[in-house]
Amino acid sequence: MNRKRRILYGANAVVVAVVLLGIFIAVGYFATAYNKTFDFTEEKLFSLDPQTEKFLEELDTDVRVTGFFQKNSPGASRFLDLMKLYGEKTKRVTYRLIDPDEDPATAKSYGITRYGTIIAESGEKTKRTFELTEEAVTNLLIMVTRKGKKRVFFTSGHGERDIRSRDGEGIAFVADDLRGQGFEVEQGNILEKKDEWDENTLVVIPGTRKGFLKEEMKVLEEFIESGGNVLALIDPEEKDYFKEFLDKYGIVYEDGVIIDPSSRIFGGTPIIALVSSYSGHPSVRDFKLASFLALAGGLKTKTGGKGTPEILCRTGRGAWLEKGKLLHSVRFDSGKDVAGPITVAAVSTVPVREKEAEKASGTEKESQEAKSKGESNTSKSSKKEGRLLVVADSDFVSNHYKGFSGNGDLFLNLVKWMLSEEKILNIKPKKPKSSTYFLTPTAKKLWFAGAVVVLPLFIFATGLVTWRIRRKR
Amino acid sequence: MRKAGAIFRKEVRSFFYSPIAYAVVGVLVAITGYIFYSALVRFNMIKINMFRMHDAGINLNNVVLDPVFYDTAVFLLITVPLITMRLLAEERRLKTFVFVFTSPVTPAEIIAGKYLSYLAVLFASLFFVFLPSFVLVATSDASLPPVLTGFLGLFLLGASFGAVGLFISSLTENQIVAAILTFGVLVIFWLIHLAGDPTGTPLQQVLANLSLIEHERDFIRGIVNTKDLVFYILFTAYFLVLSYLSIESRRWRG
Repeated sequence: MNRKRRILYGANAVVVAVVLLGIFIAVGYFATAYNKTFDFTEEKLFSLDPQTEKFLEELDTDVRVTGFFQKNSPGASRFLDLMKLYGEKTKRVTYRLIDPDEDPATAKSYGITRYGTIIAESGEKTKRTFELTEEAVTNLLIMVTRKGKKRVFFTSGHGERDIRSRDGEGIAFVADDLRGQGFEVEQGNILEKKDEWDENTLVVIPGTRKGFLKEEMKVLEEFIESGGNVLALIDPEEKDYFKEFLDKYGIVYEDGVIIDPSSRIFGGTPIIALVSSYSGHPSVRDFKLASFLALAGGLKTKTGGKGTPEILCRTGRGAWLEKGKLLHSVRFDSGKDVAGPITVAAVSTVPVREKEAEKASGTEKESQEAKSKGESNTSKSSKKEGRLLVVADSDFVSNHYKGFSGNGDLFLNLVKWMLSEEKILNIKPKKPKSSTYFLTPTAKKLWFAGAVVVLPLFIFATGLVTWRIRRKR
Repeated sequence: MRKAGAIFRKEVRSFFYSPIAYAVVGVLVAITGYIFYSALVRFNMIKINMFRMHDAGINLNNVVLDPVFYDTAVFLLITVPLITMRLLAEERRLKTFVFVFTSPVTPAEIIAGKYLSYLAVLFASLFFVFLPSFVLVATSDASLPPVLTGFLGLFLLGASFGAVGLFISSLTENQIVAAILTFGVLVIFWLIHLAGDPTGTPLQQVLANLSLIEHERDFIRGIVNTKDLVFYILFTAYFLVLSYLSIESRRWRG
């Protein structure tokens, strides 16, 4: 074969190889862009929760998620694994990984001070989290794509717990949690701030040491009756300040303090009430954790008030409401004390007054007009009721008690329901099923013999025999 | 295809008559068997130490089987070049290609026969490697589907390795050179993701997606993603095409 023809054949082979490489890369690109995942693990460990999937299906705005992790660190790998699931589900979510060491300028522009920060951006909104879980990332996406702002307003000026205080009595930790879930958190004076409240505001009374002024009580009543939300955490010592106010909405704060011997099982003292019985109310229906309330009081509901009261959670039957003084040894006195279960939280829903309803429908009309103009305004909820939720204790949200079992989560659930924020999700992290397998000494020997000795020897022996037979032939 | 079948049978026979194949597979099974046993003992230790934590999420799949499958992937990287080194290099060394070229057998049939014989050896090797895992699944609460996806993933990985080995074996008549070159190329495709970034520029994304081991991770964890399947199939097909072009070139180069 002459030289010219050989060059021609050679060039032809190279062209075929290059063209095929291009075709294969293109096919690979489309296979990557339009792929499908099948999760064969029993617990579906590498699949998104149905709640997340539903949210992603309904997502109508673009979000970019940036993870600030050191390249090739376990965190980076977990971030990419998790975000891959979101990216596969919707093209609306894009993600990138930035190593702050390699790209300090970008890290600085986002104000990154630690590895593991995850930032979601949508339009002009930016939210961040330090938690690398499906729950945290999904809620981050919800927060960054949510229209309108939800606000939690803590009252002050009556000896309330302080949202900035990080000592045991303060409530800075729950305030942090609320911010982490995307709520605006503020503490201030009722009379000064009342004009800023709307349907998207939750007013929280975080335990008081003094009573409210008449004007302040009136503001609260008007707020509830115009469709507002009030969450009152009231300790037994201060119940008298609020007795009349609560009565109006069908909630009765009883005298006495809950004594619960069952909390001893968990290492507590009987003045801590163990609450593990939750009603079917939407705010606590799916709540499974026990809560611990220290020196809590008891509530009752009655009909005939302005609102429709409903019980949320109660102690067990072993607890009682101690009417007498708390001495070193207390005992249930059937003639005087109230036997358990004792209600510790109740909610009263109040229909919005006609005048306020008109106002609300006006707001809705405006909202629809705004929508037709392209200004989405879903933050104005369509609910036409005010809500007063009472918990007969404020200690459970304090920095000292917040971390006890379900205390912090209970508060968050109540806040979310009060603000109709059911969309913020509680996604429990998936865990592989624990194995019950134990290796007995005999099984250990058998495994060694089988896997390390017999099986390889069988292969070697077969090879030897085959080789010898071949040689003999 | 009957001619490819004949080549396949001849190659399988020569594999199983050769003591080298038994030595390679035997050593692979012995090492992975020991790793399996060590992981099982480690699992038992963890279970004893975490006796009070009933719900710690410690199970046989993630503590014993996943690490064994990862290690098997590493050992395939070393053993596959030893298996594929002779596939075509031997024909070149013995100068038997000339008979092949003058016979009515096409290069495609040669490739198909030799490659399928390699897949048969790979399947048999993996079967023995996975035998303890299957026994464990049958005698404990370990989950079977991730073991099957692990098997599928390692088979596809081994198939990709084999295609590279076959191509390199077609380039040289020296089996040792073929084995070393195959190992070198496989290591490059193993570690290429270090130069890429799955969320970076298009080139970085391509590099990150070219890594052979990165596509293996999901299979081992019990996930099958269509893009990983397509990657292994395309990767294998491309090197088989290169092998075909390489043999074909011998016809006109003389």
